[in-house]
Amino acid sequence: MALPAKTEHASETEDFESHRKTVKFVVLKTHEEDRARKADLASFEAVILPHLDAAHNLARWLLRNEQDAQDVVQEAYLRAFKAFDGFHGSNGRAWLLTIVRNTSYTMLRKKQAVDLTTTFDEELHTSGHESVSPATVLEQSENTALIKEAMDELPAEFREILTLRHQEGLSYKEIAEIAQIPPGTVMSRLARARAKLKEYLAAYTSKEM
Amino acid sequence: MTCERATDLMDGYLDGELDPITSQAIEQHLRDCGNCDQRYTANHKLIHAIRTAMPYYKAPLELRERIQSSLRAEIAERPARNVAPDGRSLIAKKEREPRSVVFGTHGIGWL
Repeated sequence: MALPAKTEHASETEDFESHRKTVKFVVLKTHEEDRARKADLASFEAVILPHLDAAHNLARWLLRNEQDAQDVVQEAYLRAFKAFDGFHGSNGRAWLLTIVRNTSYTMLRKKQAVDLTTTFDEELHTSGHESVSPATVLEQSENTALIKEAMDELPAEFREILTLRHQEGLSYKEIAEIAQIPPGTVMSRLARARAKLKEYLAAYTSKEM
Repeated sequence: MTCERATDLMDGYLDGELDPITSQAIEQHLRDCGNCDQRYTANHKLIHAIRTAMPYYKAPLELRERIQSSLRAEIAERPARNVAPDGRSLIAKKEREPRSVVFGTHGIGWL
C-alpha cells in the first residue's frame, strides 16, 4: 500500500513543482507585459503627443466647435494608440493628422453636415463682389475676426487644405497623403480655396462699407 | 508661357512647389505681363494675411490630461499579449488562456 501512496505523493510534488513554475512564469510574464505596455505608451507619447496642438487645430477648423473638436481629438488619439504598432514611418504628425481628419469627417457626416463638398457653398454664394478692389480686401483681411468668419464659411475640404498648408506648413505631398487626394489635385484645390476665401472677404468688407 | 498656364501654376509657384525650370518660366512671364504680376501680388498678400491672421487653436491643457488618462485606461484594459516580440508564444499550449488569466489576476497575492 506504501508504493501507491508514495507514487501519489511524488505525483503531487511534481504537480506542485510544475504549478509553482507556471505561477512564477506567469508572474514574470505579467511584469514583462506591464513593462512592455508602459514602454509602448511612453514611445507613443514621445512620438505622437507633441502633435496635439496640430491635431486640435485641424479638428477645430473642420468641426467649427470646441467640444466636438476635443471629442474627436480624444477619439483620434485612442485610435492612433491602438494602431501604433503599424506605424513605422518618420512623420508622426502627418500620420496623426490623417486619423484626426478621418475622425472629424465621420463626425461631420454624423451631424449630417452639408458642407463636405464645394457644390453647396458655391451655389449659395455666387460672387458679385468682384468690384471690391483686392487691395481693400487685403488690408481689411489683416483682421483675425474677419479671416475667421470667412474661413468658417468655406467648405470643409477648403478649411482643411488651408489649415494644413498655412498653419502646419505641410508640403503638397504630405497634404495629398492626409487629405487622400492625388498630389496633382493639391495645387488646384488650394487655388480654389484661396479664390473662395478672397471672394468671401470681399463680400464681408463690402457689407461693412 | 501663356497667361492661362501662368494662372494654373500660380499657386504652386507661390508655395514654392514647382521645379526650378517652371519657376523661372513663371518669373519671366510675370516680368512680361502686368496683369499676371498684379494677380501674383494680390495672391501673395492674401497668403500673408492668412498666415498672420488665421487663429491657431492650441489644445487646452485639460484635453491633454483627458487623453493621457484615457490612454492609461486603455493599456490597463488591454488583454495580455501571449506572443513574444519574436512571434513565439509565451505560454505553453496547455497553459493558455484560463490559467494565465487566473494567475495573472489573482496569483500575485499569495506568492
